[in-house]
This record gives sequence, structure tokens and C-alpha cells, in this order.
Amino acid sequence: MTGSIGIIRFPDFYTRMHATGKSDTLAVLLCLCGLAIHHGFTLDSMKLLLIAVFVFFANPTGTHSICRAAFRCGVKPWTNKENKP
Amino acid sequence: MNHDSSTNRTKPYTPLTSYQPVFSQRRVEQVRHFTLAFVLLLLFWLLLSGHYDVFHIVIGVLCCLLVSYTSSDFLFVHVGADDTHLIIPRLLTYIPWHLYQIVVSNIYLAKLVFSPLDRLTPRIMPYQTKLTNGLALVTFANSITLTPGTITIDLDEHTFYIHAIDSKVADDLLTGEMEDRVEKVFLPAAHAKVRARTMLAAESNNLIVKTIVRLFTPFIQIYGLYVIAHGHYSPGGGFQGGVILAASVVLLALAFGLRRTMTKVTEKLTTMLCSSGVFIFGGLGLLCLLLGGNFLDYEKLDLFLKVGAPQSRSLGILGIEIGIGMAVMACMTSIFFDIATAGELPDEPSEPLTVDDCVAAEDAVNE
Amino acid sequence: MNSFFLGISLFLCLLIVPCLYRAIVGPTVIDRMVAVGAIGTKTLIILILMGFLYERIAMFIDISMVYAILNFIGTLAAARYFENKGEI
Repeated sequence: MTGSIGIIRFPDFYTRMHATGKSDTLAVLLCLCGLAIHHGFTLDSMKLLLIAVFVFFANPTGTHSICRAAFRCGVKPWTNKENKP
Repeated sequence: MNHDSSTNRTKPYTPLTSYQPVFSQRRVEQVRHFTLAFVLLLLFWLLLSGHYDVFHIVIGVLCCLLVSYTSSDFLFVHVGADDTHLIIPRLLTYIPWHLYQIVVSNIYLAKLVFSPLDRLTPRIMPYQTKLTNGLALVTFANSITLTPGTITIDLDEHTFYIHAIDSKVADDLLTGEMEDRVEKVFLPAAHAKVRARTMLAAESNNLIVKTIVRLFTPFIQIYGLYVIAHGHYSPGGGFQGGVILAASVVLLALAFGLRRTMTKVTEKLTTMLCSSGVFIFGGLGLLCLLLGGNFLDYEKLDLFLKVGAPQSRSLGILGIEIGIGMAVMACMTSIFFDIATAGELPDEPSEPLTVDDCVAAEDAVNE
Repeated sequence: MNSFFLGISLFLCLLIVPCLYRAIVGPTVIDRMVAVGAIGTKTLIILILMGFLYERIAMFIDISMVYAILNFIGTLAAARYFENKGEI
């Protein structure tokens, strides 16, 4: 269980800016779920899941709002940056 | 109950032009929203609290009543209360599928990250959507953002602008499977759809953030109240809880603009809360002094409460926490307002926040 | 198990370093914002792991929940600020 967390956790760091927002969400989700399972069925693990749900909704919203701000400000190089090797 | 809901389903949603005469219908809707929000918030409170004695549950019920009274409307702007019981189970079946998708594409993306950069072909593409309900749009947009490789950048009335990192993930999205599934989740919101369509025009600006903030605010407020009420067991207390409550106000202001927020949370209200919070704190302290103890010597309060020294100490602390919480929340909010407005309100459009605001905005658009 | 949690926490701390690099060097403000957000989510996990290590989970869960909320609000605030400003 926790091993898989480590594996999924691993890749997301070396990703570009584009990936951080989302792989982070998945990583947090997996970590929290893993910890909740490890902790057993108590109120605390329910709270862990609650945080997971919060992050699950909040993180994409945050990512979207940042991207939107960038887009509205006309940040082009940001999207094209990865085009050139 | 059954009969009631079936008549509601067959009847089309009342057109907005004839909204004013059927005042009672809005009233019924409000009561429903209130009840459902109350139940949801109480569940949330019980999950947080962990203390199931009468005293704490009573506090919980009071807090939930307060929050449902102030912000129950936020939860049901896009989907009426009578559709909620249909949508939630479907959402629960949608989420595992979506999680699976996230995992799969995450692995794909991880491979992409370690491969040479020239394999990437990022681009921004428009995507026409057939979804109309606001909440469905938000779910879809967030699903896109969560699936690695694609980010929703902007949302026009019926067009998503999506940044895709690679042609493969873009093609995956263009098959439209995700959209179909989201549509299925929100299919029964038939009469909500009518409302959502016009509302979208009124609030196409930043729909996603607004919707999420609407959904979060009541829960954040309950969380703040929980922190205040459980200050004597867990970390936190008046200060922290007050800050969380203020944070929910700040969140509203961020999403809906200062003008709208300040009509809900007026300066009069913050001033009153602030001073009465200080009054509670100082009053309790002085009361102990008057009863012959030191300042904030809670055990002296037992004279009134008659519940034994430990209990009365606990109650005294709770009273103090509530006072501090009110004062801190009001202070923080008014400081935020003062700094953000710099003395004068910015010239921004007043954005619809509750169901009533949305109806008003729709009327304005229709005219 | 404790040493495992400790290891993961240390690993996460190490992983913050590249984010920090991005936050300091980052060519645009947007890069920095994203990096700060990523650091925030990592801190969230580290907080909870600390809770497990100190065996005071209830307390640390509450703290991390507040942290999650504030992280979200911070991101939104920054995004809104730059959107209103209209330039980076």
C-alpha cells in the first residue's frame, strides 16, 4: 500500500510546471488514502479522507485560476516554453 | 413526499417572467435548501467533532443552524435541492472511473516527463461543450484539469479553452467520453438546466472558481466554528477559528468581488461583532473579578452555572473562546476590507452570489 | 513503521528543493506561484506524517486542514491579483 504511494509520489517532482498541479493532487490523494487505511477505521482517518476530498476539489480550481490569470495576462512563452528542446 | 416530488418533476420550471406572483414557491425552495444544507452541515460537524455528548451536539446544531441560515443558498445555486439525491450517487459512481483515468494518464505523463522534450506538442485548443448546467460544466472543467496533460484555461459560454501538453491527451479528450459521463451524472437536473442557461450569461466570468467557492464556504465556516468550539480539547480556539471564519469571508470576496461581499457582511455587522466579542471576553473576565476571583478565574462562575468547578471552567473557556472568535473574525474581516478597498469601493460589477442574486441578474439580462 | 514515515518525510523535504529552486529562479511570477502551491501540498503531507510520528494525529490533522484551506485561498488570491493587474 505505502509502497505504491512512494512510486506514484516519485515521478511528480521532475515534471514541468504543467504537471505539478495535477500529479500533486493524485499524490496527495494516494498518500492520504494510504495513511487513512494504515490508521484504520477511526474518526481521524475519516478526517484524512475529508482533507483528500477538499484537495481533490480545491487543487484543480487553484490550477485553473492560475492558468486563467496567466492566459488573461497574455503569457505566451509559458505555454510555448516546452516546445523548444 | 413521493407525490410531491413527482408533481415537481413533471412540471416545467416556472418561467422567470412570472416569478414574482409565485412567492410561496420560492419560500418552499428556501426551506428545502435550508433543511438539506442543515443536514449536510450537521453530518460534517459530527464527522469533525468526535465528541458525541449532548453538550457538543447542541453546540453543533446551533452552529449548523447559524451557517445554514446565512449561507444555505450557496449550495444550491446550480442544482435544486430536489435533484441532489439523484446526483450524489451518480457522482459517486463517476469519481472512481475518473480516478482510474487520472492514474492511467498520470503514468503516461510520468513517461513523458522522462522522455526528450521535443516529444511534447503543447497547444491551446477550443472545445465546444454540450453541457449547460453550471455545476456540470464545473465538474467537467475540473475533471479536465485533474487529468494530467490537459488544463482548462478558460471557459466561455459554451467553449472550453484547453491547454494540452501532447496530441495524444488532446485526442483522448476529443473522443468526448468524459463529457458523456459528466452529462449522465447531471441529466435529471432538467429544470435546473433552464435556470443555469440564462445564469451562465450573467456569470460566465470565472464560473469555476465561483461555484467551488460557493460549495466550500459553508463547510469552511462550520470548520471555523468547530475550531472555536473545541478550543479546549484540540489546538486552536478563538483566534484560529476566528481567522478561519474571516478566511471564508475573504474567499467570498476573492470570488465574487468586494461589493457583493460587503452587502452580505456589512461594516455595521463586523463592528457589532467585534465590539460584542470584546464585551463577552471582558465581561466574563470582570464577572469573575466581581465574584471575588482573579480576572478570568472561571471557577467562580460556578455560582451561576452550578455544574461543578471543572465543568464551569470548561464552559467559561468556551465562552471566552466564542468572544475571542467573534472579535477576531470581525477584526480580520474589517482589516481586510479596509486594506482591499483603501477607503473606497472599487468600481466593479456586482456579481450574483445567492439564488436571489442570480434570479435578479437573470431578470436584468432578460430585460 | 515510524522510520518509514520518517524516511518519507525526509524524502518529501528533499523533493521540496526543486520546487524551491523553481520558486526562486522561476522566470515568471506564474512559475513561482505554481511552485509555492506545490510546496504547500507537500507541506500538507509532511504535517500529517509528523502527526503520525508524534502520535498526535487528531491535532495535526486539524492543522493540516487549515493549511489546505489557506493554501487554496492563497492561490486564488494571487491569481485574482494578477488577473486584475493585467500583467505579470
